[in-house]
Amino acid sequence: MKTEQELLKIMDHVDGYVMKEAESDLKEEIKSLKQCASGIKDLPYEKVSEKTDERFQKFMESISDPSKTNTSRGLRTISIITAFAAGLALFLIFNPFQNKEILADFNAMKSNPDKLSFVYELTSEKLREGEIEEVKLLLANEENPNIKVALLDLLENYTPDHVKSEELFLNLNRSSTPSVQMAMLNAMEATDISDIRSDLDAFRNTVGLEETVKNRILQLLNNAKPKNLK
Amino acid sequence: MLLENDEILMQGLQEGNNACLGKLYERYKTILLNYFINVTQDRDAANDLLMEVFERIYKYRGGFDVSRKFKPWMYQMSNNLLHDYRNKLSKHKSLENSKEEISYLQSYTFQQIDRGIILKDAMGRLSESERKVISMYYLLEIPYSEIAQIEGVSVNSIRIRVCRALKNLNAIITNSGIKEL
Repeated sequence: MKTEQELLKIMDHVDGYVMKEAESDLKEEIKSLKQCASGIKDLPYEKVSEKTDERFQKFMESISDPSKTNTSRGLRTISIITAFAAGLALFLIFNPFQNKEILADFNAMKSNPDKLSFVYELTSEKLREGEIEEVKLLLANEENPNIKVALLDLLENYTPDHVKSEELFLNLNRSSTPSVQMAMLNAMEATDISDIRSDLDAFRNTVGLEETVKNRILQLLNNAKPKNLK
Repeated sequence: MLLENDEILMQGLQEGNNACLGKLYERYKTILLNYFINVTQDRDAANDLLMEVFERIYKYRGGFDVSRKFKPWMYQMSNNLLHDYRNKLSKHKSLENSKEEISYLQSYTFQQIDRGIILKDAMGRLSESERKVISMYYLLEIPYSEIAQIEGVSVNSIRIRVCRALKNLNAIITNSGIKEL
């Protein structure tokens, strides 16, 4: 049984406060604890169910101002003018022709939960082409699997016009996490995969590839039209 | 800045702009849901708790001090709800029985053993307080000092709790015969 001081000493190493090598009797234990810690950080996230989202929407409706749904014509006209003015103000503040600097904002965030929240909120925004390219860059450089999945979910909204199957396949090749691979394959659903059919088929035979991932690839291949039928 | 910060959204909510609550929900729903799932090991309860957090944020919006940070306030609220949930649960059945009911892994997408499954399974065998402290630190990435504030104990106590939880987790994984995660 270790004393509290010894436990704190172990945590100094696990948290990275102490960079020098631990005493030999603690080395193995610290290595295992570090693995556990990084494993928890990378645990795949579950998504909120549609049912819960619907419940939240109902809640939002229940708290909305009832007077807004029962306005007279005059008031409605004022509302339209106010809405127009607000819209104009928003346009001037968040000019769509102005660069939203997704990369800079994302990179300024220190914690993974903050980055995730940022990506989730981008899902409700309409991104421009340059911004979609920035999201692709983030995807290529990101290591956290949950953030990668969130970025892929975001990019899925821009397939097939702005995100091509070849770009997704490049990322698929770089990832070994099943949840990320599945998100990538899901994003490929709406794209034309005729040019990467053989690559996908070869990837399906990768040693150690998750069975669910293999099946998803097969499903994509079966659903896609052969190139000569395009 | 592309998106408004949390405190500005809370100010908007206080001023009657309910859409701000929707933005906060989009921002935090997945992270909070996974925190609740990790701690309760019950997906339905986690979804209910998530809803309750946002209902409470709305209900107590007037009491939020916009000069302070939103996240610690939200996490404190989440932990109060977890506390209520645990009390409610212990009235109906013992926690030991409820643990058996939770088939966390059965509905998991990937059937083959991978490190995520091993770890989630092992976490399910920790005590609820151990799951809570390591989820706060590693999943929500709340600094030790803030966890200490939420839990009302010293920073060192929290670090010791995290260490004990990690050691127990490691022991469960080792005893299951898995050599390495």
